[in-house]
Amino acid sequence: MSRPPLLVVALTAVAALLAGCSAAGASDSGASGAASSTAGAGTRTVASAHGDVTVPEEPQRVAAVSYDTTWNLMSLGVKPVTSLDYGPWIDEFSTEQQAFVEGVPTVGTFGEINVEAVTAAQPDLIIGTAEEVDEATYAQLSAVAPTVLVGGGSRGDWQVTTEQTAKAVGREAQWQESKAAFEQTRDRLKTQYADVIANNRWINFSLGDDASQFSVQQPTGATGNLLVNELGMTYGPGVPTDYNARGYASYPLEQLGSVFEGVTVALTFASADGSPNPGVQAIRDNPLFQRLPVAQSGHVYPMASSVTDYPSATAWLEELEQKVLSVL
Amino acid sequence: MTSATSATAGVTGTTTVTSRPARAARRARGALVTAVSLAVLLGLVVVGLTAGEVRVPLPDVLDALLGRATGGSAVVVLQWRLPRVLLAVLLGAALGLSGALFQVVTRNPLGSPDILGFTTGASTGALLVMLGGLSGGAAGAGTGGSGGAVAPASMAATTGGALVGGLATAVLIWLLLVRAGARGPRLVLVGIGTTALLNAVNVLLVTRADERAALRAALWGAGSLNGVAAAWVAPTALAVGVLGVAVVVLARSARVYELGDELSAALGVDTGRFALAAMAVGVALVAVATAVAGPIAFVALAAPQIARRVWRTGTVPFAATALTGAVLLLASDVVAQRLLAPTILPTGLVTICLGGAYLAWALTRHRR
Amino acid sequence: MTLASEMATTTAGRSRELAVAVVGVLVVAGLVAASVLLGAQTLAPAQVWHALASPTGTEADLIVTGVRLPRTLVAVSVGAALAVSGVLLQAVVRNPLAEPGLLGVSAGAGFAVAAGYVLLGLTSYRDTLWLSLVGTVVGVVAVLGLTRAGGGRAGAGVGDGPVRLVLAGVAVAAVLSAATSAVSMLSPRGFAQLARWSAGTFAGRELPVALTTLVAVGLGVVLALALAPGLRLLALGDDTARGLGTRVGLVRGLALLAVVVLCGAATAAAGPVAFVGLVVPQVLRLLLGHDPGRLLRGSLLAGPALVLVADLVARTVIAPAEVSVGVVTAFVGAPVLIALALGHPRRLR
Repeated sequence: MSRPPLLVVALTAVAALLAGCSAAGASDSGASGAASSTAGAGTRTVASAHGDVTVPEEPQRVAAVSYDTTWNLMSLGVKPVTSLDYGPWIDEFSTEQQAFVEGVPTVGTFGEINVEAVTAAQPDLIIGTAEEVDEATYAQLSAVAPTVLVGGGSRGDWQVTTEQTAKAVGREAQWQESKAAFEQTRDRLKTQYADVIANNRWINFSLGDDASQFSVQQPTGATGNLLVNELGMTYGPGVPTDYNARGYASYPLEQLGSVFEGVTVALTFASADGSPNPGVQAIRDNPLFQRLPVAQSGHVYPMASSVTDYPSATAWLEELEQKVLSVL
Repeated sequence: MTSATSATAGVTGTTTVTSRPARAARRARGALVTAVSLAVLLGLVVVGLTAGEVRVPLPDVLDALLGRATGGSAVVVLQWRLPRVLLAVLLGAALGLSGALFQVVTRNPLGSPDILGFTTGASTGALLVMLGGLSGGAAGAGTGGSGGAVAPASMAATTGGALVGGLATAVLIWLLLVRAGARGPRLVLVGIGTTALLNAVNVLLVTRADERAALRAALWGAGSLNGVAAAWVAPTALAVGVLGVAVVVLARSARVYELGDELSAALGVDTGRFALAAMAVGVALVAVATAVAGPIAFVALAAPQIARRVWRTGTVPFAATALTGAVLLLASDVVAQRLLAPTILPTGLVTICLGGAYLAWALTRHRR
Repeated sequence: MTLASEMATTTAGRSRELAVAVVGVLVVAGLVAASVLLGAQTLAPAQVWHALASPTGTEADLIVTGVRLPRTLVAVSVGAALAVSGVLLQAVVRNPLAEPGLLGVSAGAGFAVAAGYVLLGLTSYRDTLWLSLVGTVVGVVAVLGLTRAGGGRAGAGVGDGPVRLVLAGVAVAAVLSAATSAVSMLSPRGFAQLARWSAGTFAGRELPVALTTLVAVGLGVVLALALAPGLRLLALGDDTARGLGTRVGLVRGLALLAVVVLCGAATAAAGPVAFVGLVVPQVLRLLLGHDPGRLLRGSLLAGPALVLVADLVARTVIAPAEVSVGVVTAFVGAPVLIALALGHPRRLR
């Protein structure tokens, strides 16, 4: 029968998923259930959402079956043998990312993983996120190769997912290294720009759930976390503090004035190539936005980097320093 | 509307209206059509078992089916392809039979669960169970950060929800119609209105749910046979088998029911009781299909009418309908898997295209 | 003057229409006031008045003129457009169930907009408007073609008369919406835009868009009102109408043109919204009788009233999130369809 409504919801949900891909949430512990794989010579045991999994000591062919897994692997220098089909959204990613997945066989889309295509790639390890892979698919994938489902929380929970991914592919040292590099940059920024950080009131905003709304990235989200928890910045007093697991909250444009009250620096998002995001631009063009003190003082900064792992988080911090901290 | 006169012509063996040679010719034709349909179904099964990203040649498929294969091809054929094929056949038959029962009860070729709103109602019930279960988990995750993985509501619970939703819709429509005593076009309109209303309810449910639950529900709402577990085949087969037996039991009364209320009474069939029993079985069949695959539209509408036309029977032929439904759903699922391979489309998207086209064709067919 | 038109313009009928009009104007005025006064940010009536009378660029002024006023204007335009379309369609095909949403006409617009977004990268409001108009034509042609193709009376089973038209609509909507979702899987950017558009809300429409919609709808309404005498004669049957000198084909064609303009503009601005074109004429018939002219004039008040209420509900029922207006109108419209199906045995046979 007539299905437009659910179609609409599906479209909206996927769009929300895309919009919220920088959002992180609380992690779930995972249901119980043992993965069946035979232990042999040269294997290790790692934790996965559905119990411990025995994986090869040095996996050679890693299949990625969730959207961010590919980028997590990229940060660890592991080229996957499969990735999900970004087809539609590939131009939302950076040129490095596009080059990285160029030629990698695709194995379906979110919610419709083609297990046979995964099999055809002959992986010796499969990695996905617990949020995107359901139990029935997990069981099928486990028959192909040892399957590790990381995270269990939101897709954007990159500190957890990258650590588990690194352990699964045996690149923990590399992960530790990138984490240390991140922490070093973070600590340097915190000291070098202590006064800038302390003397300003911050906000990190983006598209809302629909065209009449805008959103604020909360400290429970990826970039909100970097600002508030890692760098110790303070959001403006008008930002509601009922933080949720989605990592962002959406408000009607009417509330721009009250939510942005007292804000002196606003961060937002640009496309991966640095060009303005049309949706964000529409918010910035709104007269209600333009009369905000932060807009009139010109302290609105679109950030092109997206954060999915420690190297990209470090790059984000460096972009922040170059574009924002060093000029204030 | 199936008229009483055309109905009598279809009841083989109980009527003397048709001559002996004509009956024999029709029987021969019926047998031929059945054989061809079975061959088509078999062909689709072969395609379903052999086509895929993992290359398994036909001999290896046969080895796997006979239990002679081990390792990779056995897993691919027995654990993945076979369950999907079997479920498509079972659910296609279930949906077809459900449509046949409703069309008989309503004496209306459009009286299918899709049009009348039972499919949407079953979705509402299933969504309530899914989102109810999911939002509990999400609340835990929000407060404590350890709400447990969002375990999809169990098959049994979802089936129960779908069943209750479908039955509630059936009772609602039954009450509306009994009060007004209407069948025919009015029933169709009431159904379309009910479907629109329940669709709005479903959208509201999904909109109100938290994001992750909403996303899962939206994916489920597209209707798909991808990722079905081998373990679901046995319970589904059992449920469809039991309900199929019920259909066989009801089939005899159905023939009489189609003759009209007066004749039925004269022949000792309680039309009210038959209608209730048939609707209950029909709703249960839809509920099983919805719980396993999500809402799959239009198979229930099209299968009985296609069967009636192809087998040239006046009444709705149950066995032929089950066969037609199986062919329709399996064909749709093969298309869904192969059209944009390796990207897999939701099966429900294909059936909706087919069904809309069928309805359009059916509407244009009656040119004088 | 024909008998029918004489009857339609009796003094009693006139005074009744006047009474309905007065009440209607008051209700719509009240709803417009509510729509402008209520919102996420609390504003005092004085602030709203200041914004409307002598805006000086304060925050409240911008909220009223930049957010609430466009939204209200779009709701009013869309309500009038859909209700008038319903009256026109019902007169043209002589079927009380004819309605843009139910007939799949909106699905045609939806498909065209999706295809344009995704395949051609057309995303501006102007493009959306054109695509929506083209799609509406496709939807109208498809539904009427299907209904005619089988011959009016024949249909041995697959729905006769009024139901046949609705079923043709269901078929068209099913095929077009499946095509829409297939197309939307092809590209990304379009996809995100489409998700926003097809959610069917009046939010986020800025003043220029609202004014364009208002102008387009205004043109359609003028055309519709000009056709009222012709439609009145059409109601007497084609032969009688022809005998009285009506160019039946021309009246029908122009009425469908008006439907295309009205529906196209409404769908471009708000996405598909169903049932308004069904509910409003039905209710108005109870109040005003069957005269097309009166129904058209009544629709100009009742349509906006219904959609304004639906919009107020849509933005408050799960605030701060919003549900789409189409969902709210379905809650109102579907029961009306059911009641209609149960209540008028003669007309629906």
